[in-house]
Amino acid sequence: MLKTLLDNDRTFRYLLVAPAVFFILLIGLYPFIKLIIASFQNISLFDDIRSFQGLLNYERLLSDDRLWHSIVRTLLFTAVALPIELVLGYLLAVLFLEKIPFKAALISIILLPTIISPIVAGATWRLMLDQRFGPVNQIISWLAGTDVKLLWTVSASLVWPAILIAEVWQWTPFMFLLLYAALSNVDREQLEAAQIDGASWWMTFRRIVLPAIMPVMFIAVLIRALDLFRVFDLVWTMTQGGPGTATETLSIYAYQMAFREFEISYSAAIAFLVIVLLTVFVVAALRRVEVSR
Amino acid sequence: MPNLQLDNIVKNYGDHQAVKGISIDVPAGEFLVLVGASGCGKSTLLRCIAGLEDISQGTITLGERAFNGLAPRERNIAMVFQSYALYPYLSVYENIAFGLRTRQFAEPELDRQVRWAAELLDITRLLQNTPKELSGGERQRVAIGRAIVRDADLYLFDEPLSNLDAKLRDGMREEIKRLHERLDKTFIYVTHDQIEAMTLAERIVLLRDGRIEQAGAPLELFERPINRYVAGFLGSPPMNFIEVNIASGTMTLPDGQQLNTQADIVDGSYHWGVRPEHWSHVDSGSDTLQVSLEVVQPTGSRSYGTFHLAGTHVIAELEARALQWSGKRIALTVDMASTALFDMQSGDRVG
Repeated sequence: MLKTLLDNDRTFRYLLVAPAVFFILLIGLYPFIKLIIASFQNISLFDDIRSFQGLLNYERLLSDDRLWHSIVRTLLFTAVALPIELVLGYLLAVLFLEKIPFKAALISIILLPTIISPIVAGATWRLMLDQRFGPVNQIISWLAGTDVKLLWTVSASLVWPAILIAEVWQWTPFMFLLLYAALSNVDREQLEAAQIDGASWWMTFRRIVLPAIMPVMFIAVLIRALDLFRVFDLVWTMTQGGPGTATETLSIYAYQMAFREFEISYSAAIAFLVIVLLTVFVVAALRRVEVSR
Repeated sequence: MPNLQLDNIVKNYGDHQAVKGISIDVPAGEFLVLVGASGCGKSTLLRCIAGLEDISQGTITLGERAFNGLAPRERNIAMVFQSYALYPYLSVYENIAFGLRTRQFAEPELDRQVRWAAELLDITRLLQNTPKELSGGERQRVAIGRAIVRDADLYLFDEPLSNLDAKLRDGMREEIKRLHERLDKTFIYVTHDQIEAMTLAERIVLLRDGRIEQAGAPLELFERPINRYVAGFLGSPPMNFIEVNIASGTMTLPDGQQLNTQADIVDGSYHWGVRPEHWSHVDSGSDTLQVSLEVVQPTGSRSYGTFHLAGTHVIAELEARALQWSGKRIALTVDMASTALFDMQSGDRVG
């Protein structure tokens, strides 16, 4: 019986992938279904009462100003951080195409921020930007010649620049790495042909370099956009969403709802909203690539 | 149209000297071929002329203009690359038009030029395709089209045919030669292939190890090579080199056979250079060599027969019917006036 089953090539292949599929369903699909169910319920953490309450959680989403503010904040943060990382990463990659000494070692050092966990990065930057002991304020003091005590992670006007610095510091190397790999693959003779044809820097970039690195650049931007939209740990370790709700991103708001205010089922509805938004975004983005092909 | 002058060009890469002081004058309209084995510096020299490499020493001038310090785009040159280097995201039309667009040609003039070049190279029907959709030969035509569409002072070719298969190469060779006659512009062409050099060039510059070995018209190099290297480089199959001993008008071959020689030369040992076509078969007669043909390779119109003189392997070009002599002993004569003698040590030609 088992032998005939194994002899069947098709069955055998399914058997081989079955364990992997099982675990993916277990850790991926199961929580997802639980989440959807929870979003239609009223769950209290203090007693065992669970009752279905229909679309009530979703109705609440629509009128929740704090939620929409957090979404706008997250989108703005993404819209500012992403272009900065892209441009800086590109410039760095172009720089590294030249012959420079200790290139391999320098690349490893540049990549360090991306390798460490965002929580560590956030904690490090929190210390760096500390009002009294942080080296950033000290350096600014030396440069300014007077004692400067900027409240980086507390002041409403400085807290976003502080997070932005940490975010750009941590993730520019990621852009750099992918763009460097893509740029290294641009055909050298094509660039030389363009030089001889008399192409300007802009024309060479537009007509030869950009189309060549486009697929990689697109994926890099997509990955970073998704990460930025879900940003949590870096912001949480630096500000916990504060001051007030000034740096409360969508993920932080969902976390607050679930574990500070114990609105489990409402935060499940928020999480589902995030999934829907991101799915729409990714599908639209991928379709655009297909069209442009 | 201006002349190109290379004066004592040196190119160093770190400790390695790729070009070791080369001076060439290229008159306007000449078809000059730089030829040599790989690593001889021919491509480097071409890239120096194009401005893709800086030169370490020397001067390059085109007419009154000094090229030193000029960017490639300021030199008004056109170049065809070995890998074609077509712009993959542009159509054939836009590839050819690229150099005109950068020079801000007006649309009607640009269109006229592109169509003229496409017509000349017979690629009009491909204009709307992308390079990806073309065969190797078609890509090469587009690459040439991109070069000739511009009214450049100098057209540079970097091994343009080496990525094509043999048959296509023969066809393109003829077309490039025709193109040169039609355009009447200066062509500088780099190749490692001696047949391309012989067939295309008005003048060949044979490079070896970063220096000029010999420069001159193809037949001049072929018939009067100044040394053994040049003699061996040009010609296919290559010249045979046989170690001989000359004493009072008699040449003794490695296997002991003797021939009369009129060479006015001191007695001693020499390398005797005999091209395959200098041998001919005779039925009998004086001053002949007796050899055992080992292998005969017919090419149709002629046959190549190989034999050994003691340890020396020799190829002779014989008539087509030579196949029937395979494995037999035959008599050969040599056109002594066409052969050459080279010094054993220096390799220089002495007779």
